[in-house]
Amino acid sequence: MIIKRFNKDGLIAFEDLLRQFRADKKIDAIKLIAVRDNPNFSDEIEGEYTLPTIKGTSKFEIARQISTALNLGENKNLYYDRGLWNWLSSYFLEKLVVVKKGTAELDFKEDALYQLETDSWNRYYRHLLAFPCWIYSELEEKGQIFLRGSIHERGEIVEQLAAVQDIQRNKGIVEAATILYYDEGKGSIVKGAASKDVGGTARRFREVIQQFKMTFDLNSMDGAQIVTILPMEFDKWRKAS
Amino acid sequence: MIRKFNYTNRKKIPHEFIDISLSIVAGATHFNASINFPENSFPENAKVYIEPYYGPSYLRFDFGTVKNTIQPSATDIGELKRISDKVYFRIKVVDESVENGLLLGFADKIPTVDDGDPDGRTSILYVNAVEMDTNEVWRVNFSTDPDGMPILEVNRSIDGIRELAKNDAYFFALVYPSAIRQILRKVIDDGDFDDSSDTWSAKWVKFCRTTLGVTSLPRSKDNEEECEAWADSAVRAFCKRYKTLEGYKKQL
Repeated sequence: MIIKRFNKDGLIAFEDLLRQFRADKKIDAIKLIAVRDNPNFSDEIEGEYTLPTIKGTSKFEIARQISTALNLGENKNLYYDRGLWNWLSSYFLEKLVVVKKGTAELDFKEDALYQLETDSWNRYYRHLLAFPCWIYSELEEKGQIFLRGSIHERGEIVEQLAAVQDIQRNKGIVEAATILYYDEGKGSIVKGAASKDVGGTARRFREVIQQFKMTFDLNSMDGAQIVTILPMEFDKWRKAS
Repeated sequence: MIRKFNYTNRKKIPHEFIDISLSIVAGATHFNASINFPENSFPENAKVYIEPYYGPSYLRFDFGTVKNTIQPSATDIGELKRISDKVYFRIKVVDESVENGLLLGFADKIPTVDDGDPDGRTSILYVNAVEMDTNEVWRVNFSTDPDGMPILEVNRSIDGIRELAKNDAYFFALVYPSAIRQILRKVIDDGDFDDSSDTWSAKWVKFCRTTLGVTSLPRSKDNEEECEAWADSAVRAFCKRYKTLEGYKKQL
């Protein structure tokens, strides 16, 4: 499939479609394809990028395939291309919206998960494709903490860490969080990492990082270096990692 | 007054030691920085970095050492300019002789030559043209400035919007009173009415008191009546002082 980007009319048509699907609590695949493949609604991206068929819903795998297909590391301007990411949302929509437990209805979440908001740092990371692809492109395996699970999932730890301006785009800090709280063997977050009122959890990590940025140039440090300067309360997580 | 303590030994680098200017070369925005550290302010071999940023997105440029600052050959900040007209600059002096990069000196929000008025004054409400995905024409944003200072953001898909926001009487009359009310609401919610510090809210409280002449402040943020009255008085005084209605009518 050749990757495209919605033009202005395409963005509006996709937005209208999402509104309708949300009201109907289901996706009409025929209408979706009609908008996505309508030549009046989208343009090809200069360079012609092709996306292979991606099986499954692994966030890591989808982020890897898209980032590779678009060569995002070299095409950083695409990080903020709303037409592109919304077109990709339309392509992956059936993986992005899942059925509400115990019903046959689709559980549409807030718009920012499907329609990229490039103008707001505290909403950009919510997009289910753009943010994982940014993480993969910049950090690959070192950003696993934000790449675990299925593509439709966000999770408490993402909310706790990605919602902080100084954390979400700092490669060293994201890598440090992965070292501390991601269990590579199990492919999951270490149990208790998102807990409240326990020393060294993601919540405390967030606070300590805010203090450390006054003392250290965190942008010049990698994840391992950041982990070594964390106080004793993080020992448990250092050992678990 | 909120007192701030610095336990980190990190030195504040005065802005007057740094000059940053922007230039457009072949359609791309670059910056040039000239840094003059006072003698013995930092170890000579400490590294110097300049980070242009907007929100969480930042770029990082190696400017050599304190003794020998060097402008890198490429300082393209186009990636940030795609998001916002306004780009912030911070400078870091880092001790890399120890294993972890200890921050020895720091300066944030370094003004560029094209910031503010030509005479060096800066407006209390900065107008920034940004990419907006929300179909809004304007909004007050408290989350992009590192100190939480409110910025009046306007949608840059509208031709000449930044100039319009500054000079058009319609825009001024319809937008500014409402924007100011939002800003004062935030001051109220934060509950700090002390105007003696250098925080953004102190500047706004002072602006209301000295420029708009609204001298009676709410005793606390919990006194809703007083808070409303304060914000109301300030907006009314603003509209009178800057003749918003007259300006609007003139353009009819």
